[in-house]
Amino acid sequence: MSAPMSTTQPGGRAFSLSSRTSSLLRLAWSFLRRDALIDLSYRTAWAFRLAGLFFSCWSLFFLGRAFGATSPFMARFGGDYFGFALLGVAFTMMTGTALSGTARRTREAQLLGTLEPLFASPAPPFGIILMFSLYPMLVSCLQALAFLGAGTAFFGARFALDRLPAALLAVALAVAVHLALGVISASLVLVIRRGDPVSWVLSSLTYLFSGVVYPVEVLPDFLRPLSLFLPATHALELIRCALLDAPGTPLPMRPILALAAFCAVLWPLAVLCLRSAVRHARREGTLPMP
Amino acid sequence: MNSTPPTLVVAGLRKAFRIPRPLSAVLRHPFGAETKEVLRGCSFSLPRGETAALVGPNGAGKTTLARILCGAVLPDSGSAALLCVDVSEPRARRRISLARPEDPVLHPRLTLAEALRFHLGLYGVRAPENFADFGEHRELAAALKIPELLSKRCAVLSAGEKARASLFKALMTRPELLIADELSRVLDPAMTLRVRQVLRGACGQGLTALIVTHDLSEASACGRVLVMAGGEVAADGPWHSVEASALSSFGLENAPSAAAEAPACGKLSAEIGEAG
Repeated sequence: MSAPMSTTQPGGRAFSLSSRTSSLLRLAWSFLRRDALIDLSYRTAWAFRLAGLFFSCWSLFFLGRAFGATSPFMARFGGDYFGFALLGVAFTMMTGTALSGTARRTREAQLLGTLEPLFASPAPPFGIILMFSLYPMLVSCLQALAFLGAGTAFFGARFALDRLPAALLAVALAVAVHLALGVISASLVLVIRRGDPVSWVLSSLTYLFSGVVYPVEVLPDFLRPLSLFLPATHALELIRCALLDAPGTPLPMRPILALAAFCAVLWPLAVLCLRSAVRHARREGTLPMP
Repeated sequence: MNSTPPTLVVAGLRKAFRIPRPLSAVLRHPFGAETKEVLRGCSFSLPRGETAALVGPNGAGKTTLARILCGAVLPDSGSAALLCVDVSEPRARRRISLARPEDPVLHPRLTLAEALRFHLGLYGVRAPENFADFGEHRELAAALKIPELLSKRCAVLSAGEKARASLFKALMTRPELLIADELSRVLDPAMTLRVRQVLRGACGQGLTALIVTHDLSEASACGRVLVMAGGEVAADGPWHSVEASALSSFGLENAPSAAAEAPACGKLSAEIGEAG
């Protein structure tokens, strides 16, 4: 039945790296497949989700018609409030999932009792926590695309696509930053075993101060510096500059540097937090505890 | 004296859990902590291929010991090592499997085949494209009647079917150590016999099994019995030498022997003995 446990890996480091990579890919595929099967078994929920996207898009279109062209704050974006808000909402669909998806799924696993068997498997805890957000991230990216697609196809939104790579870079960096924050939030959930306060506070601050549905220029002078501490502000600035501004407008470098700095600080912190939280939960025996 | 080197060595395991305090106590001593010592220097070793039963009353520390051996809980002191590797390390965790009646890996919305595929992914093992062909596990699957369950959602499996599925899931990853946590509690007598035969066969090929149970007739069918009481191993040996300790740990000093109390199981045990 059992095979003797080898203490050395044949082939040295190259073998070890490639086998680790294939194990991680297998782990990712397992989570993706499992979560997709579970999610797709709730078919009615999907119908409501798609209808919700369409109606959100529609309401933004009417808001744009009512206020967009008349606002001086929209002049920079050609008076196109609809395109401005569409990008903001689609962006927060993805970053919101990166931020709260990990912690929410960790909490669900705690309540279902699946966290302990997952952590008792040889899969690394960091990998497990990251894989929790893999399927929700994929779904939210598809939802954001569907949202933008509906805005373009049914309500006439127009984006300059020649600078799309810059926008995609901003999205990728922003998702990475929010994922790190999500891991920190999941670490907190492992310790306090309650809903996640980090995601709630950050999501609220992002909606208020990052210029998701209105430009940060609307904020009073004393609040505007606060927006610089939120990664979404920088990402949205670059995305809108790339997709809404006139093609000749130079792309700012500052948002990319700011997002890279957020990544450099938050990812090591996320690794440290999760490692301590897993150790704490294993020591206290609270992995499966509601 | 067994000359086989031990697969599992547990030495001086101690574990205390903090217990929640009433608000009045928290207000009086905000930084104080109340703990309950669950394991108090638990030590034993299991050689390769041995089947040992772990018995003891509720609160004796059996589940905590099983959780430590699975790497889900860290001990306060002492050690548990599988083939000289600490059980909390991924290399050891790959070789330890847990089977239990209510296995949370068997998600109710998944079919058994999908749940097994996910479990293999966790262990970095490539799952077969077609689960109907089990390859090297065909005999095991047939013995546990798994093929007929594969396409069923885990939500509709009976308790006994879930226990069989959990045992199959645990053995699929070819572990060195199997911890079976009260599996027989939900199995019918015929399936109990079948599971014992499966475990006997697996142990013949080198598997080491720790059977956590409250069923003394099941314990008596194992080659070795560890009696836990008060967080430590109070007695260790074949059933006839630990029977008095086992009964005493349950407060049943004056009860008739386990086999006499459970004639049906006693008969099954005898059958297994003859078959073995």
